[in-house]
Amino acid sequence: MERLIVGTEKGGYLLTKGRRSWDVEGPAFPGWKVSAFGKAPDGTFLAGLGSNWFGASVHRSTDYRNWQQVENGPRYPEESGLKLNQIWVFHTTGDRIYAGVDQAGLFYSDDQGLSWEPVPALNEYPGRADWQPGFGGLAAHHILSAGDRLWVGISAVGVFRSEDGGKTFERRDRGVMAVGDPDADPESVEPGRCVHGLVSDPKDPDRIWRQDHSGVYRSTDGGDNWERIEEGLPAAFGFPIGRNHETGSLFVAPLTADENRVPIDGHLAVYRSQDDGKSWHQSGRGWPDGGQFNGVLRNAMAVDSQGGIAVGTTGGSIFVSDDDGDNWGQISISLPRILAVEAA
Amino acid sequence: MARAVVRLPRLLEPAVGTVRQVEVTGSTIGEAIGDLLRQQPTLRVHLFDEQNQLRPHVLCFHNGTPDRDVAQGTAPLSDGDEIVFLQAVSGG
Repeated sequence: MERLIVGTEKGGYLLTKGRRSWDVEGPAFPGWKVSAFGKAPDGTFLAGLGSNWFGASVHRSTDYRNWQQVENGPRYPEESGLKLNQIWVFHTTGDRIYAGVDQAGLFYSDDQGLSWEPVPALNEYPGRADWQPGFGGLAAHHILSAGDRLWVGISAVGVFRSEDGGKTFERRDRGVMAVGDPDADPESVEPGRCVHGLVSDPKDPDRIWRQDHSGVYRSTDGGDNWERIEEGLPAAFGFPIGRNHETGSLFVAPLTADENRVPIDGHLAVYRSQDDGKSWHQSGRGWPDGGQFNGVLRNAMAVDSQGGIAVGTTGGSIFVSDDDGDNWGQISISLPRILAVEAA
Repeated sequence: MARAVVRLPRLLEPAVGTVRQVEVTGSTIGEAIGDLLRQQPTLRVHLFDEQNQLRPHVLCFHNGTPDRDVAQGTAPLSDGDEIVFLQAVSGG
């Protein structure tokens, strides 16, 4: 990876690989939470901002340096009673961009992100009054797509799938443990399945991998059924999951447990699977030898198809590999708490 | 119609660039806020929520007096009035 755009609790930073070190530009949006990045169909860059004071907004740029807020960003109808607290994710498919937000919902733009419309089938989903937020909020934070099919991951509710381009949605969590209720019926589709991360195989979108609050799962039928895949992981809890679609390598960043969200015994490392999730091993070499007690949040892992992978931690550190996770190096920088990392 | 000035905090730079104050007109504070949002439409989402209420951690002072009902405010506006928006002292 030659360039990274990094969203933090206090602004966005552009990192460019130099001959011996990385050049740092920023912050863009000083003082603002920068929680999501995306790219419009025409190549325009998108950023999602949030603030403890001033709400959430979408911004566009052609160079990652000069940004303009869009006037008609995602906004719930007044009568909905819902509030837009944060932009969690952008997902572009064909000529359309989707945005997943907190309070949990979905919006779309067909004009390069200049204006946004709600997706009523999800935003007005029956029973949503019973949805409970995770620690990070009630957030629609992952979107997958394949043609007219759409998957949306919502914390702490579960995965929703649409077969008709977002006109209707159904829950798809069979086999996933409910949060805080290990005795709950795994066949149940009651809310309370806390998906943390999702990634699918673009060549076979029915193959989906899931980092959940309750563990790591795989589906081979588009999310109809999920099975646990944790062999070799030091812990099943974590947030991000990524995949190199060229090699098929999968990556997760395990944390000790729900109630102790730090790397196990201070040993920060990404774990990799090279057999579609059947088994996991620490990803390569180059990790610090202990003393690391900051984890990786759900949007703070970027994986490309050229072997590049980067993770940012809640302590502001960034680790990068250019060989599919065989060798890792730490960028010499200490940023605010990292929320989002993307290859730029 | 009276003329007033709205002052904005620096934190709103992503929405309005370097603009720190906006001259507005109206006969009430509600009309003045309407004029502000016509001139700077990107401010709406930051100052007011979907129900058009001032965001919980945003403060508004009309001539030094806190006013949480500015969007619908019927208080008369006079020439030279000052409307100040600030973020509350909170967060980290």
